[in-house]
Amino acid sequence: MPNLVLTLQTARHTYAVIHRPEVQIRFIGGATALGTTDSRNRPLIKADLGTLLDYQDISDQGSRYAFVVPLRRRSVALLCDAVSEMHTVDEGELSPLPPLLYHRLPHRWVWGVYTPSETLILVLDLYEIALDLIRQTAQPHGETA
Amino acid sequence: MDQFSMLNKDLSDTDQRSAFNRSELLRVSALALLGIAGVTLVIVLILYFVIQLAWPLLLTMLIIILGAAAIAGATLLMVRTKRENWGISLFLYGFIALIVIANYFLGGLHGPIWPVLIFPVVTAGLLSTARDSVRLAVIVLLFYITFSILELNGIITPVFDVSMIPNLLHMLIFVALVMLLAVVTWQSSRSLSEALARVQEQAEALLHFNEMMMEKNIQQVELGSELSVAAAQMQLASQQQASGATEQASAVSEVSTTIEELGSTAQQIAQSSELVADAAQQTLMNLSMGQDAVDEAIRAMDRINQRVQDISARVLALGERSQQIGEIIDLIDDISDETHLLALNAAIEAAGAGEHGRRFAVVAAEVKNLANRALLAAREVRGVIAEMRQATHGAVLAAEQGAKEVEQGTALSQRAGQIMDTIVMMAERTAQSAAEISLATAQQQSASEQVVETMRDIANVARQSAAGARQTAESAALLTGIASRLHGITQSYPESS
Repeated sequence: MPNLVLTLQTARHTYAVIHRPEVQIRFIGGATALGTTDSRNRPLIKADLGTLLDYQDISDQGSRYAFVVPLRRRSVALLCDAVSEMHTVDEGELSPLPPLLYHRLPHRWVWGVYTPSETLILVLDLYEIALDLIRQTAQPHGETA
Repeated sequence: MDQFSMLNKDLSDTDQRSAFNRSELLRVSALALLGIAGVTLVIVLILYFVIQLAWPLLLTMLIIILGAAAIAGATLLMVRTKRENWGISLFLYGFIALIVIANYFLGGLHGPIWPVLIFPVVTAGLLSTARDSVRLAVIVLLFYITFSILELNGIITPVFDVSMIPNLLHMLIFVALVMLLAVVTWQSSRSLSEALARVQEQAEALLHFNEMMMEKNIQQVELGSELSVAAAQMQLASQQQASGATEQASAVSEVSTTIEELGSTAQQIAQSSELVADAAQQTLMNLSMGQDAVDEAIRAMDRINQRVQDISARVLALGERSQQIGEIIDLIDDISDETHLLALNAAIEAAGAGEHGRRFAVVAAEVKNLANRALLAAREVRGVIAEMRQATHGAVLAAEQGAKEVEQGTALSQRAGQIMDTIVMMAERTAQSAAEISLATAQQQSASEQVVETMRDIANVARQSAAGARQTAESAALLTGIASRLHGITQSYPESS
């Protein structure tokens, strides 16, 4: 079954995510604000996706896009500068990380790579990122486990 | 008072003292005669009562005594009135006449009086000179001879014969005359001693004067030498003074020439200062025109400043409008982003619908393309607006810079106006100073002429001074000769003395 892959831009990089229907894409800018709660009135945690992956990747744009990841008791909004393309890809165009590497990662934010036209794009696992943010918020000193 | 005057005074005092001593001798002699007359009168009166002296004889004696007292009184009167010569003559000749008369009364040639005729002769020798003594001796001799002839021939006879005159009276007359002679002799001896003492004093004074003259001569020798040296120095100084005066006259002539040139220069300066005054006046006129131009420039700069401020305000307003356009573009941008997101979600939904959503996916892709194009257009407009804002900002900055420069230009123009005012004031001062210089140089020219006249007078005085110095040098040379002669005289004096 083909997958829907969305490419997104931060200030310095381009990433890819596999589309999931429960993850909403929202526009933030001008009169449109994100708010502090999600559509089901649960707390909404916001984080800049660029600075999470690269501390020098700081955005200066006024309008942003947010991937709202619903969790069990709250939601996490991961912000990026743009969601540029949607691609329908086959399994062969998506390469998951090798098991040896994947299981030894302390944070499994990267699912694999997407290689359209010989370009290597990291495929992010937004659920893992959201869960780690929730864990980090729960820990008082902010150290990731 | 010098020593010579003192010596003259001593000699004059000695003469006065000699005259005083003779007067004193005469006065003492007269007093002695008066006293002896008084004593004789007393003795005669005693004899009259003791031995019953005849009253005619008594009367004769009284007359003789009164005559002697009269002679003494007259002599004292002469002494008192400082007529000693008259007093001496009166005393001596009256004394002889009294003796002659007394001899006629008292016994004649054989009487006791004749021998006493010798007394006036002796008295004359003591009181007066030897010539008077000789003269009196001759007179006495003539009286004796005359009386002898007259009495021997019986022409005259004595009033009282010798036998009628008591011996006591003889003795009394003789003693009285001896006493008188003793007093005169004593007084004469005393006067002679005083005269000898005075002569000795005069001799000592003369000796002292002689020594003093010797010292003076020695001092004259020394002074003559010093005078010779001083005269030589004076001659040299006079020659130098004459030379200096000649040089001074020459220098004064040069100074006069220089001052005349200075006066000529002052005249040229006066002419130049008049030219400067005219130039300053012309400069004042030009500066007035320049001042008007500066005022017009200041007004023009003010107008430019207002225009620049208007331009700046309009550019700012344009910048505000571009800001508004930017906001609109932001809104369009947001709408494009939302449209893009909607198209993306629609494409996702179309992909989820499979074959049924293929057409919808095509529409969503078109919408997405439109949104991207709108986004690109908006971004292009944003870039244009950014450039426009940048240009507006630059224009605003340029306008502000222009306004500042206009303000600086205005300030410079005002500063130029102030400088022009200062220049005008300086030009006025220059004109005034030039006029003052002209006046001062005219006064200087007049003063130079006066100085030239004065220098000419000084030159004449210097020439006269030079001539006087030459005369002084000649006088000094003459003085040197005199000093040499004086030196020779005073050196030869001790040998001659």
